[in-house]
Amino acid sequence: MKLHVRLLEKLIETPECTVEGASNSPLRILLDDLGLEVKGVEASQEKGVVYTLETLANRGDHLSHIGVARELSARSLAQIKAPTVATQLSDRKASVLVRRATDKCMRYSLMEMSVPSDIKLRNDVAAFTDEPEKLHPIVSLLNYVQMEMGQPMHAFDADKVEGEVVVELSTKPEEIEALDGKSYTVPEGSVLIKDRKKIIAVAGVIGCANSMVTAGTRKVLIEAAVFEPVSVRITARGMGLSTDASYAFERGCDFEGITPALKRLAYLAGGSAGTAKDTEAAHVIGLTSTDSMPLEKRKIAVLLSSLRRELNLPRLEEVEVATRFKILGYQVESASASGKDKELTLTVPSWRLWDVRSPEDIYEDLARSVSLNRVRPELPPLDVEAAPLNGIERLVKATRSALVGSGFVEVITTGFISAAEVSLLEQLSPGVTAQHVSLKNSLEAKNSHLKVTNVVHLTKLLALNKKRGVEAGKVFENCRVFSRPAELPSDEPRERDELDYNLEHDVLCMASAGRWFEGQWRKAESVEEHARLFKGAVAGLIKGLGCQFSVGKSESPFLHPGIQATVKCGRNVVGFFGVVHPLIREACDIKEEVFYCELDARLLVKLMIGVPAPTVSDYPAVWRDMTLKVGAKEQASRVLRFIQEASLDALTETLIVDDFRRPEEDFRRVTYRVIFQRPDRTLKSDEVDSSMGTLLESLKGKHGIEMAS
Amino acid sequence: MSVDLSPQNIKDLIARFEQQLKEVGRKEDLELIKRDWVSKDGFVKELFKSLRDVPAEEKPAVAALLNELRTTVEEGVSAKERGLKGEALKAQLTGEYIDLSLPEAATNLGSVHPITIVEERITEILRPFGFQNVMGPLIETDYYCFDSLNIPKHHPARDLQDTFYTTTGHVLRTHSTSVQARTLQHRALFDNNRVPVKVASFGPSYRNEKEDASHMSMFHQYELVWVEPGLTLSHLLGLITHILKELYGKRRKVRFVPKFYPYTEPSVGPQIDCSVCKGQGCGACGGAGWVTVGGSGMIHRNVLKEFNFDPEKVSGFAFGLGTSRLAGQLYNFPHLRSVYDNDLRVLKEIV
Repeated sequence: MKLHVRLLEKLIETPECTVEGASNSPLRILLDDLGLEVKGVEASQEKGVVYTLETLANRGDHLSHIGVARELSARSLAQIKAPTVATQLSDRKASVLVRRATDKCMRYSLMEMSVPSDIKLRNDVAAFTDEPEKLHPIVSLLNYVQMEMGQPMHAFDADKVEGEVVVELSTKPEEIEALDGKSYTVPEGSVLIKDRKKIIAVAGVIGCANSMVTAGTRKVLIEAAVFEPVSVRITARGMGLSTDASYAFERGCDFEGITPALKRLAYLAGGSAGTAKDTEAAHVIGLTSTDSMPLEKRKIAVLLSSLRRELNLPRLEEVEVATRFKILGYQVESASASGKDKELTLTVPSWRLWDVRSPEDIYEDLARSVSLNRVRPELPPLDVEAAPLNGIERLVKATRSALVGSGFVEVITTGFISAAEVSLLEQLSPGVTAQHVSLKNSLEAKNSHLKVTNVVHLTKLLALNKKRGVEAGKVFENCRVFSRPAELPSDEPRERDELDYNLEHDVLCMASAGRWFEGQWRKAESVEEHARLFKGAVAGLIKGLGCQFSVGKSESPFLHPGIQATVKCGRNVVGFFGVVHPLIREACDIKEEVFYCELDARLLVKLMIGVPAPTVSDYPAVWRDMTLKVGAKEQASRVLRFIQEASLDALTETLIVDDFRRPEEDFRRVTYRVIFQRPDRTLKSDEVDSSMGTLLESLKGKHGIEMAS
Repeated sequence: MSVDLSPQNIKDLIARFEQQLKEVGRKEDLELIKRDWVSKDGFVKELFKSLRDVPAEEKPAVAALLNELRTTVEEGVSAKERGLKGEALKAQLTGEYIDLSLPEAATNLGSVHPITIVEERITEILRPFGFQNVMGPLIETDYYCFDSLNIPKHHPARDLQDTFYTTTGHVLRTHSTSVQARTLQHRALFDNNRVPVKVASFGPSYRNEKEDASHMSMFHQYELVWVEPGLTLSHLLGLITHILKELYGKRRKVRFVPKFYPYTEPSVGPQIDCSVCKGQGCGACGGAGWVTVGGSGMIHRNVLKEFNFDPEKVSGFAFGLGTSRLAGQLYNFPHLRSVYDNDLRVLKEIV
């Protein structure tokens, strides 16, 4: 809403607000404090200061200068100078009959006025009117009265209205040509204003071209009404249109605002204020109103002690409370309650019936009036017991030191992914498009879907940082990815609390590109070295959770087929890691290999619970090294699993200590160190040798793995 | 072979040994002396073996001289060994040099995102009050996001939400207040509406907006719900003031302005003076000098009633602090977009 400070100053004495100091004026600070947030400032010597206010969605009464003046008055207790109005409207009826055929219109009046051919606006009204030369003076006057008093009004050319005017609901979609020159489809169920032959306006939204005021108009019908906000809103949304009138009606107009607004209009149009003195004045011919819905006299009772307690203002006097509410338009009755307490019964003013319904609304009005910053803050009581961390919190805490210690920087990426990126993933994994949850109405093309994996986001992020000159990019993120299950039916809106939890998955992701270590002067690591370092970071993270780390065979379509592995905690696969697929790298515009790891956070939370504390033996460990033949493209670590499965007595750990391949051989020679230890005694050499014999037999017999000669 | 064990000869041997030792300059030469003098076939052993042929009355004197010889040899060799080692080490150290002024090759410490830092600090600040942190879905139903929160269809407040609608028939949560609805419902269904309810939750929320420096489709919030008999507006203001002062320091200015949220009544917007311009007005604060850091209020009675809490017996408050904005103010990011820029050059500096 545009607030003209010069117009406001006609209604109430305001704090200082000069053109030069408009941005930070005492008036602006006060408006902010009242919840009338200033979002824009225009200041010129010609128009003075004009603030753009962001008003609250429940306060239709704030969409007028009188409404703003009322709030200022309730704060400063200064008197409002009410605008001058015509003493009375015509006793005669207008020349048309009016009928209200729907309760979505609460009140409806048509005031018939003559319009002189040379009608002009006076300068003091034109000063507050945008582009007055483009609008008919009567229309400018209506806009002015709405700005001042808050009542939207509309003018019909009376000579273009035929027969009785009916306010009724439409029974089918209707096509109209509006006064803005555009055609609209009005949805079924909208409130329409019709004469005997045609639709002349869409209630609360816009008038039709067929009855609009033109330069040749000599008689107008001024419509002033109260329409039901939701009805106006549905219609306006359905038409894809928002007007000043619809904006005001959607937020609720004053049930008793019609008469004052028409009186103000009649006064301004009557020659002494609104139109130039040397022209013939417009004058009221007649007024017709439909039967009205009765005005509710809503009463809300609050205890003075409750008001004091809520605001923590124990010395707040009854007289101050009553005065503030009276300025805000409430009728206040006071009665004794228990002890020295008082019960205040407040009758809600007609312009607040849309939003004031409970004692909490009364608390709010009082808090606003005295200022929230006068409310004395008080800390609520502490608790005796701090609540435990939830699973994800524990996981984040447990993994953070490992990741940060390894040089990883936490990042936060968006949950969205573009259609182009989804197509890229589809190339690598046919069918993955269907797994994406897509968005119906995204304003940004890049936000058309929700991501099923974080690989694209982290690769893009590393590429961007590479361009920024970051040589060693190592990042991690705790986030959610989304997937649409195949069985999910159509896109019908979900009922009440229905929710498919498997749409979302918490993941812990890591990625690395460029150098591992900082320092340009140093030779960069080879891909293989980088792979080992990255794997080391993943292993450190898993081990930091108290889990046993191992890897397995992986087939992620988004990673390099030859450089990837699953991540395992004990026997559970918790994720995968490897080098990002070259097609993704290419699309993200990064040349270097990008290492990526994605772990299932929920599963990690489960696995990190109940990990037994390690047992420590006072007796020495004994180990044997064995060199086995392993296929050139086989995972050497799978042998570790076979060794585990052999269930050897006193086996505590197995390590890979060497990996060597002779050029002439088609296999690798991998040396495994098998470590034995008992908690209760020192092992004998022949016991260990016996176990090793059993192991070698098992490896050869079950898995065909032989010792290298 | 007879050996001359006369005192003079032994003294001559000592002198000879000392002369030979003096001439030793290399480790290899010392090894030769050790072989000749102190090995089991060396000179000293041989002399001691010959002691048995010395007449008994002369033995003590000869033995004393031999002991003197042995001590001289052993100590001499040992001292020479130490000397040679020391010289060798000195020569080695003199030749070795690493320029430690060159850049280090260590893995620098990583860092935690500013939003996470803010979330954790608020959690720590709230810990003495006994809040349990919970998580909620990001893909929500209309019910939890709007209907249960006193935001009926076609309410103007839904304009504020700019909701993303998914093809699965859901919405992306527009605010973390949906967690409040789930929490209250859970307490109603499974815990007989037990109070107090003290729950916190943080994470992303989504608004369908055209993105620019100040508007992002995703932002982060820290949600808190507290339901208990006797809670008042002043408690809400007290707790928010406490959090903001703990986060930014006691001298940071905090104020409250009236707001409207359908799920709270009264509704309050907490603001802090802008750290970027020190309250003078800049792009980060839209020229106001103040930054709204969240939304808050006393839980609306309709919301309490929706979940079978009696508003005549209990009250509650809730707030959703914008952790993106709080982080921006904590680290002087000029715009909201900077918080999500993931510029590793900047993030690495945040500890």
